[in-house]
Amino acid sequence: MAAEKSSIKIITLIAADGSVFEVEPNIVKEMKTVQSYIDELDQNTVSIPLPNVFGNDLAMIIEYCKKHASEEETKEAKEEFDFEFVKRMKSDDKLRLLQAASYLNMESFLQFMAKAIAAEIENQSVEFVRDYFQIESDFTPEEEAELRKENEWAFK
Amino acid sequence: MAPRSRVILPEDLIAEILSLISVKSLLRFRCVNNSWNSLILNPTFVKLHLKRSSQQNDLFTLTTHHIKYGFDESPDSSDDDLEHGYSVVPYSISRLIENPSFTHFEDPYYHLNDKGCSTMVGTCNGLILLADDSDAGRSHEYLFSLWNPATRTTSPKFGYFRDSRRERFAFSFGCDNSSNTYKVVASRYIRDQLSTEVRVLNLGENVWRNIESYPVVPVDLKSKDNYVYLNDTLNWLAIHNYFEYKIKNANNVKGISVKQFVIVSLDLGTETYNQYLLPRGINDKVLPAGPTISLLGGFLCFSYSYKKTDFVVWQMKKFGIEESWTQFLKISYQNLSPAYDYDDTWNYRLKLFPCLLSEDGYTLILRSSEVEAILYNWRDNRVKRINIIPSRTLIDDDTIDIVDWSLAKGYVESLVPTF
Repeated sequence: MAAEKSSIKIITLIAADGSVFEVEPNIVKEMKTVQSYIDELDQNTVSIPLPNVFGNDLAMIIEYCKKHASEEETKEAKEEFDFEFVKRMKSDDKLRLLQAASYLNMESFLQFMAKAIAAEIENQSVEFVRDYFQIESDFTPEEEAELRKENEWAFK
Repeated sequence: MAPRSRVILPEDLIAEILSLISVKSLLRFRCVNNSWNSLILNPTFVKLHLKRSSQQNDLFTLTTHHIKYGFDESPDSSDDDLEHGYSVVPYSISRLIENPSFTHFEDPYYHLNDKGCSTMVGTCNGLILLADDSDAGRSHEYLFSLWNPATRTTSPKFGYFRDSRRERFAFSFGCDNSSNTYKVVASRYIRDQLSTEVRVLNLGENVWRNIESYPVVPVDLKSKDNYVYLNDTLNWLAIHNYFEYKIKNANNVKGISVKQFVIVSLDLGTETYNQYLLPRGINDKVLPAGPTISLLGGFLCFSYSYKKTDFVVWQMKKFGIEESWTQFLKISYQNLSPAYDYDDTWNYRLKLFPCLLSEDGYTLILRSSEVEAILYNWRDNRVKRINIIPSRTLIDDDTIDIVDWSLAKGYVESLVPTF
């Protein structure tokens, strides 16, 4: 194992709504934003405010990190966890967690969320996607008709 | 009902999501709004999508050859009534492994004749290079077209040339990704000069340039799967003193030692050649039958028959590093025999070519001739014969349809434009 640069034992994460989470350093390893903050710090504890992440979301991310950081869990158990983790989320949860992953600079969790969202919109209609992301069309009806005609086969 | 909370994603996160979506859905999603439309057409996004798509490694070009005999009884009928053409359909390897016997009904969209081309040269970054080779009196005429089956776009014809030598050109296709230049390489033997001729065309320039000929002559320029495209290079299996052997042994390359074989690699960026030695672990003085190179699971592979008992596959773990050759598989012919009906001596004559490898790396697709292929799972030693029955129409119209496994190549879906 690589030598730990910092002597920190407990990290306190403070979410946007003020809720507080105390975690061990190995849990935040994937959160590069947090990691860059604690590297080189020479103290036992540290508090880090995360004004862009809500408590509920942070709780879920920590749950995910705990499962994936665990060395006792098998690969199959982790996959099973991932499956259930996504299943209980609404689409807005996924979008918020993707944003949180981006803010915390968590590469593999970001990919995981992007995949979950991609699976929801794959093979769906334009209308479904607009509703999903709450996007309004800014095409004129003529422009949209033209575009649809250009790739007509893709609508079948 | 309470309104949904509004989560507005920045464009880089939208791009992350869309990079995981199929091309067909993306073409539809261009209609979402203006910013999605320009994102999906953006070259940086096209590259990101290609990168993600390339990690999947599940598609290949399922190529079928259709031959129609004209049983026309009119007095004008002749041998020219023989019609033939190819179809190329991207197909999933995992689906083939799940179900290796099926009737393959083809969408007419995938017929190459309708695209004005007779055959497929190769594939790179989701683009398929098509070629048309026809006789014009005593000379041959060549023409090309670029096709992206995922976006359903085909380029105008390009690269026309006419040539009157007896030896025909063989073509290969690749990309120098550092300069984003796609290149077609044409090469052939020139027997009376005991040499080769190599020409290159950069896509978009439409000019054929002669480059240095091969430093060592490729063995099988005429076969359809004579080259491997990998890491911005084109690779051929070659033999020192090729012509000497061809002439002395009347086309029989038996009796050539391992040391005479090398892999000749053309760097598409610099247009210069490198040469790589074969694995040192092969001790035999005489190279056994059927040496061939292929691309399996992203690695350049070298395979051959060992003492008529085994089929051996080596992987070059780090491309260009001769020390990285690693024995990947050694398959006993006995294990493969359930897939064939031949008698006891069949394995002496059986020449195997690895075509494709499943995503998990356990199942190999091997062809024994152009039209016959099997699945071999090396982990649990299972063999299955592949039996795809191509069908152009539901009506029996005297057409013979066969799968051409020598043109089964790894394919990735991409948004890369055809020009």
